[in-house]
Order: sequence, then C-alpha cells, then structure tokens
Amino acid sequence: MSIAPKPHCALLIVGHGSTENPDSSTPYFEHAEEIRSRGLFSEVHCCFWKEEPSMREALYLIDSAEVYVVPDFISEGYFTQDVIPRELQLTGPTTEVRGKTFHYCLPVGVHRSMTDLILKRAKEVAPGILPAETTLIITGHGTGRNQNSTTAIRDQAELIAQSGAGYAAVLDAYMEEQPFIAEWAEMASTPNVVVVPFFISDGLHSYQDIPVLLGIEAEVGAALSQTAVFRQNPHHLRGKSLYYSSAIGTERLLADVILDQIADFDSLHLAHALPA
Amino acid sequence: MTTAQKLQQLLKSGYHRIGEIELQTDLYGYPYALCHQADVELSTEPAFGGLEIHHGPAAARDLSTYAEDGTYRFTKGQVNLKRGWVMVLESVQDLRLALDQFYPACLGLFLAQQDGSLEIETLREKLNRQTGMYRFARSISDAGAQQLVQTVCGPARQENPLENRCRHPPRRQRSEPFQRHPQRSPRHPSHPTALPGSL
Repeated sequence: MSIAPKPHCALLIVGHGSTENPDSSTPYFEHAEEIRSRGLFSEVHCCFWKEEPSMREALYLIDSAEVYVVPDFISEGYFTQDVIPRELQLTGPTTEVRGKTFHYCLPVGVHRSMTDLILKRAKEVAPGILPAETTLIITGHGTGRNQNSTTAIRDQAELIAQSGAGYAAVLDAYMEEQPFIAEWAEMASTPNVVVVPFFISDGLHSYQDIPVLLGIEAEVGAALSQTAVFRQNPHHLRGKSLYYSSAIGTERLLADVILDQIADFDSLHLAHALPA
Repeated sequence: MTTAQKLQQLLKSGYHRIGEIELQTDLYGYPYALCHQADVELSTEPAFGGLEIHHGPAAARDLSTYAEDGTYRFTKGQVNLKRGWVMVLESVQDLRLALDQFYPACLGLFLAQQDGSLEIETLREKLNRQTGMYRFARSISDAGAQQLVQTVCGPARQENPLENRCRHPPRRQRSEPFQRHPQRSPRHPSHPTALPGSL
C-alpha cells in the first residue's frame, strides 16, 4: 500500500531497545533512515523503552504539531497496550498531548503483510529444501503478562499453513510459555526444520538466548556485532537439519510495514477528515 | 522556529560543546564538523590531523555505541566517548541528526530548559508509574533513592572510566550539557583555533 507524503507530520518509531545488547536497536534506526530517505514526513525519530531517547524525552525531539506513533513491536501486548500509551500519555487512537496531536497506530507485527515477509525469510534461509519435508516454526517471546502477545504469531502460523506454501507443518513456539521453542525437535516430525524468530532485532533474545534453547550454542555468547563468527546453516542437531534465520524485523522491507500501518490508521480513523 | 534553526542560533551565540563533543563551523570548507573535544587541535590541522573522517551523520550511532575499550554505552551521557574521528556535515539538519544520535534528545531538552517548557519529573513519580518487572522499584525508600542517585550518578562515578562498566552508569553528566565560549571571538574560517573555555 502506498502512502501520500505527510510533509507537516512527524513519524515516531517506538522500539524496545536493550541495556545489554547494542544490536537491539539497530533495526529501528535502519527503518527510520529508510523512511527518512523517502521524504514522506517532515521528521522521523526513534524512541525506546530501554535506551535513549526515552518515550518521555521523545516529545522534545519533535517540531511538528501532528505525530504518527508506530510501535515497531512484533505483537499487541504489554508494551503496546500498557507501557507505550502510559509513557507517551496516549488515551486513544488520537490524543492531544501538550499541544501536539498524536495518532497511535497498531504495531508492525500484526499487519497482514508480515506473512509475506516470513515466507521470504524462510525461503532465503533454507534455499532448495522441499517445503513438504520441512516444518516451519515461528518463534517469539511469550509472556504471562498479556495473552495478546502470542496472538500475532499464532495468526501468522495459521495464515502460512493456509497459504499454499506447502510446508509439512507450520507451528508457533515461545521462549517463556508453551509450546516451548526448546522442544523444537520433538514438535517437528520432518527431517528439516526452519525457525524464524518473530522479533524486531537480532538482539539478546533472537541472537543470544534462542540459539541456546535450540542447542546451536552451549551458552549465551556475545552480541552479533561483537563476534566475528557468523552461524552457518544448516545445523545438524537431534537428527534433523535446523535452519535458523535472523529476526524478521531486520528485513529492511519492514519500513514498508510501518507505512502500511499509518495508511491503515488513516483509513480507519481519519478517512472522514482527509481530502478526497 | 524549528529545533535545527534554534541549534543554528546556539552556534552563532557561541555554544560550541555538547557533552564530550566539540561543534565547529566552517572547517576546511565544511559548514559543520564534530569531533571529540580532546581532538579539537588535531581536527584543525591539515587533513584533520589524521583523524578518521566521516561524511554525514550516518556514523554517529556507531561512534557512540562502543567505548574505546569495547563496552556498550547504552546511556550516552557516559564520559567515555571514543576519540580519533571527525564528522563533517553539510547542513544544520544533518548536524541535528548527528547530535541526536550522540546525545539523544539532549538538544531538545536543553532548548526546553532554556525556554521554560521543560517538564520536570521526580524519580518518585517515575518509579510510581512502573509496572511489570519494574514495579518493585516503587518500594525503594527515600533514603535508598538518595543513596542510589549518589552512588550511581554522582561525580565520583564520572571520574573513573572503568566505573562506567556498571550496569547502571550515570545518566547525564552533571555539568552543563551545552557549553559556550565566555565571549565569542572571530575565528579564521579556514583554520579555527582550539576552542577554550566554557560557561
């Protein structure tokens, strides 16, 4: 979906960030730069939960009176429904805060176009293998704090299973709730398994934690940017060929999904206010 | 007036430093240049004194992510910014982008402080609205909070770079984030002198 330029609006991309992994916020800056280069907004900024600038500081970055806020998060959940609205003082789809109008869009991960990105990533990481002999596992964090956090992944697994992509099975699995990603070999009955981490960045979870749960690494290693070792697929583990991709959010096309969410917001909430 | 325009005014009025970064104008034909404040003299020598040259703001994030010893600078107010580079910039918009990577939102916060629009929030207010894994932070006593601020953010923490490896390094330098010349003096446009003084 294309988006009309909004030369009087700012775009604020909200990410999680990390106090431990410097790669965590890289995709957010890349998405911001990609969109900035297209000249669609008067300004494009990032803010974070665990890095600077914080969400409370973000207001001081912005000159424009109208701001689109897009959570560069993978699911609806604790952060998009509790933390971001609280920190940015948003009370609904559109909120006036200190003289500025904020439009709060849905997170990128719940957009329908994510399905194509997952399939693209799965094919890239395991070229030439037969989908009929392959289980595709989409893995996320999972948390007991908000039941919605796994909905996006379950939805994507279902959409891909019904898409005709031809995978023997398409499953969802999580770090901290059932079904656990650590049990990937038991979950898959095929000789090939492709695991796509449904995270924005190759940060602490997708690059350091999940490889340990999969058995690729014996212990949590250094961050991606601090190691010269690039992992080679496939990994021959537990009698199967395991292909582990980088996080879905590192796909540069995710910038388009951010714009898609803004277009959807306009259609849903502002259609009556926009010129024909 | 935009933030970039206000930045231009700050420079014209003599402000030249933010945190550990020296801001120079009209350096060897470049409208703006940034470098570590300890590299200012090198930056004014021919070929920028051998400093690694970066064109445009793109490298600002990489330069500010790791300290010289490789530790992750997840709060950018730590006083262990890498040396050995100069960044040349073609516009005040690019200058602003670079500064917002080196010191996120610091420019906007400074301007808000200057015009009286900065909303001050106490540590207690911030802690009281925390949920999830941080909800336990609310239970800190006033005395404990004071001790926390003193030991984590105090000046002693700033003086030993090794101490910046701690999990909770100082959030902001305690000195004025922006510094300016006591009295702005004209400089030769193609060969600026080292910039003395501060507020």
